[in-house]
Amino acid sequence: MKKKIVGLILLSVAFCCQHVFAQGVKDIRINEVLVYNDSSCTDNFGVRSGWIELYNTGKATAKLGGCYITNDPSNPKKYRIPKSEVNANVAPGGYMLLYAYNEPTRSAFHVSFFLDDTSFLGNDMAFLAIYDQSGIELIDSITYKVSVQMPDMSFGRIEGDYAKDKGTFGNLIIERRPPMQILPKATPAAVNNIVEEKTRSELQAERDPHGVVITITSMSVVFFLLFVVAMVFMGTGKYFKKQNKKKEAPQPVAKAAVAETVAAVDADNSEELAAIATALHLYYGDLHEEEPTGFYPHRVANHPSAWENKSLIFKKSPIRK
Amino acid sequence: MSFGEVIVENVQQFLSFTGFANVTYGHLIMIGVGLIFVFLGIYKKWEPMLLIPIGFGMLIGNIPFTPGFQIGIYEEGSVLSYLYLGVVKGFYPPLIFLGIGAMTDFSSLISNPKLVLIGAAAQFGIFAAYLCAIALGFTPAEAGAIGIIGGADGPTAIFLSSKLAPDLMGAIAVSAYSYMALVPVIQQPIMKLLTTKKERLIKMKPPRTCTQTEKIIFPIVGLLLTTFLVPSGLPLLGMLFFGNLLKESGVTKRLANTASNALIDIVTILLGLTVGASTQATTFLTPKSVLIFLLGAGSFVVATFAGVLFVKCWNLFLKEGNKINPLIGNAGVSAVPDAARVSQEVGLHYDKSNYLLMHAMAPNVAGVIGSAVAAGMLLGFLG
Repeated sequence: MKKKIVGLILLSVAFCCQHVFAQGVKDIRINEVLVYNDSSCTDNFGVRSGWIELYNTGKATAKLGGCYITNDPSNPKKYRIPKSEVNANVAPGGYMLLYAYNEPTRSAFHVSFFLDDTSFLGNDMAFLAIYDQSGIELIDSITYKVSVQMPDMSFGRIEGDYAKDKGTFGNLIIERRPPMQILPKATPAAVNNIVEEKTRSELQAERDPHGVVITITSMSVVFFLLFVVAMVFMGTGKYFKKQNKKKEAPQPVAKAAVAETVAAVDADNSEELAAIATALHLYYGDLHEEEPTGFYPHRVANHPSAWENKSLIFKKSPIRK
Repeated sequence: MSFGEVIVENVQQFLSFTGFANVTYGHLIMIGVGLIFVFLGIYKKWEPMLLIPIGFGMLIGNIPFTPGFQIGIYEEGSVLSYLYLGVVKGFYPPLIFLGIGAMTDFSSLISNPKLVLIGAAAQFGIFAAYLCAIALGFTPAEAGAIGIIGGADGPTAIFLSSKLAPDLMGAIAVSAYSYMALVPVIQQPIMKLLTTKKERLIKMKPPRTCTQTEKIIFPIVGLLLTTFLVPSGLPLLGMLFFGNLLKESGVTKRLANTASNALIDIVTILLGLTVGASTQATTFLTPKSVLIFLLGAGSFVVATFAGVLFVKCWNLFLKEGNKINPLIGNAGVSAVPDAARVSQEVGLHYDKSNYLLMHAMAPNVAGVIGSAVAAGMLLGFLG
């Protein structure tokens, strides 16, 4: 039975770990796309091309080595990010930039397609998706109209919106992907919201310029919390007091047994007990020398008697004049 | 260039690198302050564990030098800057709290839990300083970091200021530790001022003995209660209660010994020295630092007032025989065990048989929890 329980625990731990490891990749989102690049960034070869920005919305590093990027819904495994690519790890809140001009041999970050290819969806629509290492599970996908794309005009999502659109229902994490929007400025591998957000301190300064609200709230919480702590431990204190009283309550049978034992000891070993008590008394009174094998009379060095002191016994030497 | 000219040039270059060539009045002032700290620590024995590392750190931090040699604490790549990382990133304070937890006996609090509320009342000092700092023009984040000086808890002050106002951390840390060392000087007159002779002679019932089970339950329940409500206090409260569980569980004596001896000593040395060294005259001697010192003193005074007055008010509702000696009100600040010792000393001064230490330890350790919770609140609002 115990083995079964341990097995079940190990299985559930393994399942959770798998979930945790997979979570890094699942948190990746297509964050910004620039189809036509006239004056935005160039790659290491000096080429200006369309690019795709991926963003890690999670709290763990996403290892994208082995993941797939495609613009063909029927071929999820169109371009594979090399598994051995060490730079394919995206830190929490980090970005990865992929260049799209069909030159996959140039680096791990050059995909094998163009971003204005509408041949797969038709109707002037293009498709872009990222799949996990199996090439089966879709992580994120978007569709967009190609004819409306302008040079150096990118579209994407605002980073702060990911958290707002994430919610939980019991143990399930429910996420509504924030909508794509035209961005005021192309920002490759950088935050899309170029309007600086106010810090919490600045917001508090606006809402509560004198700090009174925070003071009242915080003091109330401190009092409430310590009041709860006091109540809880008053309760446990009462419980343990009762328990102690029960333990300390006199037990007649036990008392009688103790009295009998004492009487028996008094009768049989009274002399021995007296000897031990005397020895202990002398020992603690520092009247004996300490020896490993027993007690010995202590020499009283500070109080010499006339019998011990030769100078008091001998006659004084005659003084020659 | 002749041989002699080369020698003269080399000597001139060498002299330009010496401290004498780079010294300013600021450096001399800060070296003077450092020497005072060392003097107070050694000869007056005021918190020597803190004042000596901080004072000597001030000497280290204020030796004038030519920038660019990776020497100073603010120079990237210098040894001191690496040691200072524990302060900047805020991981020294939770380690100190681990040690505090492993050495603190919470039995006085467990045996008389109602005294915990005094620990809450004394946190008024934090928020009084916060309000004053805002009125003086500090940003809310800076004001929060300054206010925590009133908690009389050095590690908490460093932790919060590293998160809310890293630029002011040196001044806040030095201020907090200085006033902690001055607890007996600051608190005694206020306690005497606010209490009558009759009140000072109140004898409290001796606390009951609490069982080992209660002591084991305390850190677990305490952690769950406090951190569920204020998760931002988790780094400090988590380590405090963990350290205490190591101590009270009875089966992890080695770990508890390490946490309460070697570990806390090492971290105290590093923390004190680097905090002291962070007071480089160029960054430390500003009008803001002076204001921080004044606000820190004010917050200590208010905290003591609040603690003592809270007990006096509470006594109005208590029956004769159950009354609390208001002299333990000052111990609500979390300077453990100095504040409790002050209660004891003042109590004994008026009645040689009135031992208040164990009673005062309850609000004192509650003050540690209270100030960590207050820090968590400020971090949650302003971080």
